[in-house]
Amino acid sequence: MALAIRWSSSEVFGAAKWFIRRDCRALSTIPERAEEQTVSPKRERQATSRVRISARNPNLGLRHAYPEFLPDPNPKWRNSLREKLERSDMLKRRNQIDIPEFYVGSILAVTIADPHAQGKTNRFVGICIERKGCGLRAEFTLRNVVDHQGVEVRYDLYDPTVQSIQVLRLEKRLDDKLLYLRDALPEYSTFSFDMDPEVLPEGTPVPVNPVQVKLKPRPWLERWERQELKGVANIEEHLKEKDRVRRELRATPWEKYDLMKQYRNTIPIEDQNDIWAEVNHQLRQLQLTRKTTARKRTFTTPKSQLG
Amino acid sequence: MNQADVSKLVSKLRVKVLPRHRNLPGPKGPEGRIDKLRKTVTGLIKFERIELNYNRADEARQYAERLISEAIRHGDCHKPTMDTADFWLLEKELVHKLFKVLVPRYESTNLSYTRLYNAPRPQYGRSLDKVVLELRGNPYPDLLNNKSNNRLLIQNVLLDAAKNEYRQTKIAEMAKNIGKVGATQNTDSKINEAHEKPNIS
Amino acid sequence: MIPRFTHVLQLMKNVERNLFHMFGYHPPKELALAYVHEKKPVAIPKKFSLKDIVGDGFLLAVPKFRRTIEKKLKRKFGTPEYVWKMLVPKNDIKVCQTCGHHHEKRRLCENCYTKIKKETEEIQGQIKEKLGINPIEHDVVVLYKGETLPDQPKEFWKGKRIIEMKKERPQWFSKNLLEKTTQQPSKSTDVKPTDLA
Repeated sequence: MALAIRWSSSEVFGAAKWFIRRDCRALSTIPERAEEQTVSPKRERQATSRVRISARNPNLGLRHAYPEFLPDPNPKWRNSLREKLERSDMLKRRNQIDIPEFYVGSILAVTIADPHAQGKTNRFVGICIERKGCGLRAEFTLRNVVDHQGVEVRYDLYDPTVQSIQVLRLEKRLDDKLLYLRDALPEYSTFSFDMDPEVLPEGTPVPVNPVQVKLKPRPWLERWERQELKGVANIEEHLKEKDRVRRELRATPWEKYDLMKQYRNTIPIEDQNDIWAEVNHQLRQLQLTRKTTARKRTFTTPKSQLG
Repeated sequence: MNQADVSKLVSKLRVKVLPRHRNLPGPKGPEGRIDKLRKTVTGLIKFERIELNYNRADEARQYAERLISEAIRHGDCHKPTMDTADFWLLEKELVHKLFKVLVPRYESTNLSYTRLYNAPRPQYGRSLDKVVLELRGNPYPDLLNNKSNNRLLIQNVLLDAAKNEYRQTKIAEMAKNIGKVGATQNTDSKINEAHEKPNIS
Repeated sequence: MIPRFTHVLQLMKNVERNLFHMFGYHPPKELALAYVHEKKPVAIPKKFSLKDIVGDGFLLAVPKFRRTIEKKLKRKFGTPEYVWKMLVPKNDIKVCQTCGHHHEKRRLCENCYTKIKKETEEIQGQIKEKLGINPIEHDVVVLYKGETLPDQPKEFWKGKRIIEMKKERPQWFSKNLLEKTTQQPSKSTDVKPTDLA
């Protein structure tokens, strides 16, 4: 088991290195890929505007793997000095423990220091159903079903009591948040605690798991039918005619085109470029050191196994 | 605390953006607001200079800037941008204008794409503040006719004449001082001053 | 049962009392109340007249309570933040550099703006007329009467929509102020008086 973990971690780092080399293009979402395909050579030639040049910064790809380095888009909570200090603190914490790259839908194992537990540590395995917060307050929620009882644990990413975060299966799901797993059948969020880490061969992009879960009959915690979820299979069979009518009434198809709403929810490219220029070097350094330590570990494993 | 949306990349606007949107009240709610803004943006792209109320103009200005910046960034071969342009421009010949006229016009600029002027308001009126919203580089006469740097402006002509006169008097004084036999150190310094003055002015 | 019995009892009592009354057994006269009969004075109805109320002067609606000093001041002067009723001098009036009219600071000059607005609408009308419903693919160049395209390479003007105005370029709408204006120099021979002041 230990051997498997170590080997896999090295593989994960290798994959990470590959992503970095490819400027994290593989991590980008589907529209961007489409954009790359559709750019005609004519447009490429006359791309002289500042807007296009700034958008071509390869560091921008880091935003998928490290979204918490971007500040809150609400200008009410912006404070450039605090954000800078938080970024430096986050890098310091990342120097202490290895915080791997993961996404909503990945399966993680988190070990935290717990003074009341046997052996003073507590390990929890589950699927990441939500990531939120930015800066040092970044957090993620793991969900699992233990003894037929759904359990969710919310961890702070930069909590000093977190001893290790390990990715058991690196993948994405069809939705940005998997909160609907609370109303899904329990088998969709059941993961065994002694699960073996799965290794992605070097050079593969993060796979998207196209599984569609089945919801339990109502009552539900939220009105899932109004949220345009892609990862739910049987939502229509639980709906009455009344629900369908209300869904139509409440639909907001214009929000897709509300350009300023999108603008207020994102950090503009020019601001992002400054942030990534600040942290890019250290993040790359961290990845390099992580890779070398992983290699050393794989080299020393046989000895410990024999001993 | 929210996390920034990383699925989309937007370029920074060159105009001021308020933390929250303005409601444009009407019976249709948010949808009606977007409809109003669509009409205004279409009018702005079509006529390049329009006069309207401040609130609506300021909101529509941001949307127009976003639309143009998206068009510049992605070009006309990008499907989502084309859909957005199709949604925002109610008259479809303006989609051609956006990509073939406005994008080349603003591609290399460092300024905002639109300008907003406060229109004069009636002296004893209670109407809302009107503004003039225009695209930069339009063919119409300039609204701000700032001629303070023009040499032919009457104030500048008068100032030039005054400077010239001052210089002439100083030179005459210098000539007088040089002619004198017993020129002291004091007068020398005066001459130097007089030499420097014209250079400064 | 019991209510019916009491009812019968009551009935018996009444009969007994009435019988005694009939045969002259009254209560003793000493117990009767003393009563003196008096004739009431007849009130003469008086005719209503307004004079009774008004008297010598007029009767007006008057305030019932004193108005406080704060309310009085607010009614008189308003609030500086909302409605300020005092006459205050306006310090943000500027002189237009182009035409010399007064206008508010940070606002366009009304005189210039009406002029420009009229011209703009004219050009807009021309553009609309020229274009029709064709897709807009080229920029606009506005040429007034008697003007030619500025010297640029031919490719620059290729495809540009040239809008010709059927009048001369207004004097104030000049792209280059060093250019000759279209206004003719005056030919009047009137001599202005000098040394007046």
